[in-house]
Parts: sequence; structure tokens; C-alpha cells
Amino acid sequence: MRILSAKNLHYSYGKNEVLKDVSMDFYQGTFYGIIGPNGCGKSTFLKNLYGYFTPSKGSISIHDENIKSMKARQRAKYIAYVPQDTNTGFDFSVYDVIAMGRNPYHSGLQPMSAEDHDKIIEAMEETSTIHLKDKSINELSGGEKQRAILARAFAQDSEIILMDEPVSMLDINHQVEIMDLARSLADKNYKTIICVLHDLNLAAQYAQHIFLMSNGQLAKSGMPDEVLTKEILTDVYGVSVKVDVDPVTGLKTIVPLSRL
Amino acid sequence: MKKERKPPYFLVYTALFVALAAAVVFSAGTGSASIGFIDSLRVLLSKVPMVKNLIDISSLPDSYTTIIFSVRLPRIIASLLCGTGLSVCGVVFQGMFRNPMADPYVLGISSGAVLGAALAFVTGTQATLFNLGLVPLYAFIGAIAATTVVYLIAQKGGRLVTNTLILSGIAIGFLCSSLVSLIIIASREQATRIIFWTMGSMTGTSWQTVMVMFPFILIGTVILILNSNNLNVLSTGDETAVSLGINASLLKKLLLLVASMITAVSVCFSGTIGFVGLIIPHAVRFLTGPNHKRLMPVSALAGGIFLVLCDTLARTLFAPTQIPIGVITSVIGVPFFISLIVRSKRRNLI
Amino acid sequence: MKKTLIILTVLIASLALIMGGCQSDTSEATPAPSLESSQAPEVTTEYTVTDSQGTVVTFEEAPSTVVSLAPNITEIIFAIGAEDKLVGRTDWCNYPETVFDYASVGNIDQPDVEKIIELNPDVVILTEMTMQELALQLRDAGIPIIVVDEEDSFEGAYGCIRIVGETLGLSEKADDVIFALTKEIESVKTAVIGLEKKTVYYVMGYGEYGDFTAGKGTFISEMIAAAGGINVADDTEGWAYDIEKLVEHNPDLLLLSMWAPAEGLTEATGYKALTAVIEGKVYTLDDDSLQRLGPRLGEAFAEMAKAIHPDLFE
Repeated sequence: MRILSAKNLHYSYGKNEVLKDVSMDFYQGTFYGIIGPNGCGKSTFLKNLYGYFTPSKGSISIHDENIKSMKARQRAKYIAYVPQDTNTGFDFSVYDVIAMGRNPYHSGLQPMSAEDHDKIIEAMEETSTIHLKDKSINELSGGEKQRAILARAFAQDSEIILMDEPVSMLDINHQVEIMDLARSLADKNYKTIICVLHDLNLAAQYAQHIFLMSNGQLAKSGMPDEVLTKEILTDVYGVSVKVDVDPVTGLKTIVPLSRL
Repeated sequence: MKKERKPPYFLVYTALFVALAAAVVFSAGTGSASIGFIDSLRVLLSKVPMVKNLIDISSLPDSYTTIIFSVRLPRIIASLLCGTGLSVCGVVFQGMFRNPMADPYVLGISSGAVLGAALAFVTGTQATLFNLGLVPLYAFIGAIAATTVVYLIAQKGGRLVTNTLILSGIAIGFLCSSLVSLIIIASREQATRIIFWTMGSMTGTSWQTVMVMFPFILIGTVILILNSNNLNVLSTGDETAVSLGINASLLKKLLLLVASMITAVSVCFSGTIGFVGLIIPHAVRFLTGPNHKRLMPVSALAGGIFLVLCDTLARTLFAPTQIPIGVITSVIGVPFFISLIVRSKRRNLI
Repeated sequence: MKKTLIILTVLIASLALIMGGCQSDTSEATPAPSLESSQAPEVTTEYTVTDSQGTVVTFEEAPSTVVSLAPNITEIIFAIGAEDKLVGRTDWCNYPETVFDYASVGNIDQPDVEKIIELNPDVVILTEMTMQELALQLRDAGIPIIVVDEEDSFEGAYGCIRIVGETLGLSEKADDVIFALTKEIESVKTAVIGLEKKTVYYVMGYGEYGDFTAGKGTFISEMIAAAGGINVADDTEGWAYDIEKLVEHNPDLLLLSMWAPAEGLTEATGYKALTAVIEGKVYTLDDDSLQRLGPRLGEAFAEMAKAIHPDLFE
């Protein structure tokens, strides 16, 4: 079932038009990857999706309701965001950080309800962060922090979770950890995960559907096999690539070719 | 599960309220006319509606009552209000700017106030408005004008970028200070008065002043405290805050407006009292953690107690000479703060 | 959160109650004390005094205790023979010498209000040099205040004496003092008529902090004119002066305030070239008697005239 839809989105930073007539549809329970060269507008697109930026033209709808007409709280119940920068400022405890995910559901004036607490515990269980709950968020390692932020998004109990380059800074072990977790949120919990990715191989491995952006526009949309081809990637990224299927894992691998 | 985690904060608040009351009674009993804690308590209670009939102060000289209620209590209450207001505003600015070095004066409020006051001194108006001198009015206008200019420079399409706000605040602050220097050069006789005003003073505070300060600071503080949770979320960053359902732009404007109001009202009557808005939030944060639901109320109370005690020192240390209260806050504040940092380093918290 | 709100409400309510209590109390200012005397005459002893700000203060009978918050007021009190009523003076009051036997209440600008309240005087006489808020505190505490702040002139001095005298119920004595003072001043003015006018410069201050004098329109400048002198600094208004202009004028003599030490002049740039300095025509005047609007003004004026016309008074 289609849950989120962006139609004819235009967005400019000052005079610079960064998104030029971008349209994408997203369906429930699917893991989406958004890829493209630096500056193609993928992060900007994400920020339009959850309402941080307001598009100059076009609209975004959740369950066919325009997000412009939604109150901030209501919108936050539908769509969560895991930022690229996991710096949370002050030394909140991990529990408190994850608890902020419940913000759309309770006004700050009352203590949280039992349901809120349950959701937080569940979020911590799903992300294996329960043992960290009393630690200060700034004490955690990169991977642990990312899991905590993901837990916060989970606690938000939204149908859609946006992730902006969630693993670019992480070691390969943490990368797998987070990506596995994200994918299971789509498969097991039926959430819609929209993940901006830097690493084409991760996109190949985890995404069920890929949007390839280039220069503020949607260059190609489709299954990984359709999008991650030598011709398309070379054209968009401007570098020769070798695309193979690994004989052992069966996964598609993309290797950029050096010009030397 | 949550209830077990949290310490019994109800007790903490009760203790703070008691400490605050004790500080007020103590301060009311201290001064060049020595009255003492017990007698001070008796005199104060003799005016409280329900309790007054139980208290007999006929054995105490009338001057005690006059001194406490006409001379000391107005400035004690004013110190309490300013301490509370400035501390809570400090918390808000630090949270909003995600910068522990922020304080209520960072947006040019204090420099604007000094400029306004300097103009009032120089135009020599002895006129009064509601029985209050024109200096507070000019100072208030100066404070609000400076903040408005800072805001207008920094805002972009209705959006407030915090770094730009700070830079803009610094610029306007410098501008106001330069203008004040010019005024001082042009009117040398007013130089001392202006400089003393900058250091902050509670001398001569009247009940009228307290009556004007009270509603602004009280209502403003309550509004800010009610936004504790929102501030928690806002302090994690704009992008995150919006994703969690906070209208960051609107919230920032509200916080800015209310905090500027409180700060301007505090400053325009008592002059710029430094350090309170910076160190109280810090010191309290070491004890309560960054959760604004604890940080704000505790800072409010701690700030009130702190400034009441500072004011007591200001008027008793070198009696009858009155030391500007801003000097006291700095002299006490700095070593205390350094000791907190040292202790935190040792415990590896920082 | 809820508990916090409850506590907050309780605190606000109690604060409001207390402040409400305080407010109603301080507005019931106790009136000026009345004496129940067995010899009370049928005619009322009540009288009013209008102070320099136009405030009318009613006294049921003459104050028996007074606190003075300015040196000139203290001097006037002694001059009209009311020193037995004096219970408080400022640190700056220094004349006559016996004043040091009297209790001090601090400085002029910010006196110790609590001490004054403890002394419970029948009236406090002050000038506009005292911080207005503190004066109001005294008044709100039930102590009548009289503000003496007349213009800087001979008439101003008479005015000050008159008001202090009226306040303390000693108008006749005050009139005597004024009469003697007027005689002193007028006789000096008469004595210098027809004498050759000398050019004069008043040195308020010199050196690294700048050059200051009494410009046109100041009382000192007018006194110089009345004493048969010409103030060269009349080409400026206010207090700051340009040393070059002074050198240009090269006045016949210099009158010094006590802030301008005579010894330093022979070394000071610009001043050392002045004829007056070279010839030693440099006279230090007593600041206290000169600048206070009080009973010694005549004496100070005479000193000034003597400095300008030394031969006259030989």
C-alpha cells in the first residue's frame, strides 16, 4: 500500500535550485535506497520529506494527506528521521534520548505513560541497547550511538523511518549491524525505511528498491538489478565501474575503476 | 521502572524552598541595624495573613519592622526575582544555542540596557513614571531595541539560525558599548554613575519596582519552565527536533521573546548583574544532569537563593558602603565554578 | 511536573500574600510626631514648610531631632544654634570641628538608611545629591524629608538657610544669620566698586587629568565678577578648558581650588609660563566655604576679593 508520495518537488537554497521536479512513491514494508553523487540533492530530498524544509513547488503526502496540513506532532507520528550527525549536544542518558522518540505522543507537562515506557523498552530490545540505558549518550561508540538513535526512531512508532547516510562513519562490523537492523525493521516490523546511502554495495545488498538521483533530478528508479548497471552508473557518476555478481555471496558488487 | 531510577526530587524541591525561605529570613535580619534571624522571622511572620495573630512582636523596636519591610525586603525580593529570572534564561539560552557558554546577555540585551541607562543619566531626567525613575524605562527600551535589531539581522525568511544570532548579538553588543563610551566622554560627570549602573545594584529598590518586576518575571519563568521538555528536544538539534514534532522555529521565537522580556526587566531595574545566568545553569547541570525538567526549576530556585545571599553580602561586607552586586556575583561565582570544573575533571565526567 | 506546579503555585500565593501585607503597611506612613505637652497652648503649633522641590511638609510642632545629609546643611544647623537637635550627619560634614562628636550616617550619595531609621529623627534634611530612591525610602518609612536644593548663587545660600531655619522652627535665628551674611557680602561688593578690574583664572584642576575651571554661568565665575575681577574663562561654558587659551589670556592672577596644588604650577606645562605664576600671584581658596551654600559663603567671598585686590584689604 502506498504510504508516502512526493510529487513534483522543487527546492532551492537561495538562488540555487537543488531539487528539480522530483517525484517518488514509497510503499509500506519496503526498504528503499536513495543513491547518487555528492550534491545530487538526496539529503535535501529527505529533509523535505519529513517537513524540515518546505518545497518551493510540489507536495508531499502521507496516506494521501498533504503534510502541510498536518500539525508537527501528527506528522512526527508518521515519519521519523535518523540524521547523519548523531551529536546530541548535552549529556543525556541513553534512556532519555530514546525517550524523546515519544515526544509526539505526550505533552511535556505530564510524566510519560506506561505505554510510553513500554514502547521505549521495546525499542531498546529491538536495537539491543538495553544494557546502555543509563550511560551518557556521549560516552557511546559510533555504532552504539547509531543504534540508540535508531532506537529513538523506533520508539517514535512511526510507519516511516528516514535514514541519512547512517553508516558512512562506521566500521564494517557496525555497518552490517545497523543495516541488518534497518532491514529487519522493514521485514519484521513492516516499516518503510528510506535510506540515503553513499555506499553502492550496501545499497545493492539491502535495498529492495533504489532511487538514483543526479543533479537534483531522479535519474532512475527500480529494483537494484535494473538501476545498478554499468552503463547507468558510469553515466551518472562519471567514472567507469565494474559490476559483478559475487560467486560466493550472490550479491552484486560494484567497483569503481581507477583511471591509472 | 522509571520511578526507581529517579531520585526523590520532591525532597530536593522542598529542601530548596526551605533554603530559599531561610535565605530571605536571614537576609532580612542582616544589615547595619542588627536584627538577628529569630527576630527577623518573627517580624516577617507578623505580616503573613493567617499566622500574624500568633506572633507577638511588641517587645521589638518599631524600627525593626520599618527597616525590614521598607528597606530590606524590597531589595531581597528583587534579588530573588532577578536571580530566578536570569538563571532560567541562562538555561534557556544554553539549551537553545546548544552552547554552554551562552548567557542571557549574549544577544545584546545588557549592552542595549546600558546604552538606554546612559542616555537617561545624560539627559538628566529627574522625572518619574509610576513613581519610578526614567532610567529603568530607558534601559528597558534600550534592551528590547538591541535584541530586536539582533533578531532582525539574524532572521532569514522567518527562520532563526543560532550561529547568526550569536554573531549578530556580538556585533550589536560592541556597537552599544562604543556608543556608551562616547556618551561617557561627552559627559564626564555621569561616567561614575554609568559604570556603577553597569555593575548592577539593588540599592534603593522600592516596592513599586518589585510590583512591576514580579508579574513579568514570574509569568515568564513559568512559561519557560512549562517548555522544559520542548527545550530538551530542541537542544538535540533543529533537524532532530522538527522530526520529533517540535515546531522549532516557533519555539525558538517564543523562548527568545519570553527570555528577552525577563532579562530586560531584571536588568533595567538592577543594572547588569553578570555571571548568574552563566554559572547557575552550569553548576546546577553538574548536579541534576541536562534534563531541563529538573534543570530549569532547580536553577530557578538556586539562582534566587544565590542572588539573595549575594545582595546580603553586597550591603554588609563593607557597610555602610554598598558594593555593586555584580562584583559579588563574579568574585563568588568564578572560584566556585572553577572548583566544579576541577571536581568534574577528577571524576572523569569531562 | 504536576508536583512542581503545585509547589510553584503555593510559593507564588504565599509571596503574593506577604507582599500584599507589606504594601498596605508601608503606605500607612506614620505622620510627623506630635508632642502631648501639658503646656499645650490653645493656638495650634502646626506649620508647613515648602522645600526646594515645592513639596509642602506639615509639622505638628518643631522637630526636636534632625539628621543632616549635606555639609552645608550641617553648617547651617550649627549657625542657627540648633546643633543640640542634630543626631546624624554625613562623613563629609567637617565644620565646625565639634561636628565630629556627632554620629555619622555614611556618605551623602548613599547614606545608611537603616541607621537613620534606627535614629528615628523628626526630620531629615537633604539635598538632591542623595539618591532619590533612598530619600523616598525614608519618607515611606514615616520620616519627613525636606529637600534643600537651591540655585548656586548668593540668593541660593540665603534660601538654604531660610528653609533649614523654617523646618526647625528657628526662622528668626535663620533671619539673623541671613542678615549678617548679606551684610558681609554686600560690603565686599561695595568695597570693590571703582577699583581696577584684574583678570582672573580659577584653577579647579590641572595636570594629567585635564584642565578644569569655572566657566561662564557658574557661580564661581559670577563671584569673581562681583569681587571686581574678570574671569578669563568666560569664553567657555562648563568646566573643561583649553590650556592654550589660558596661556593666550595670561591672567593677572590665579585662584586655586584645593585640588590644584600651588607647588606643582611652577613645573606644569603652560602654567609655568604664566605671569601670575612667575610673579607668585597665586592664591588658594578654601573649597569648603566657597562651594557650600551656607553661612561661610560671605567669608569665602571676602577671601576671594582679598586675593583679587590685595592692596584694598591691607
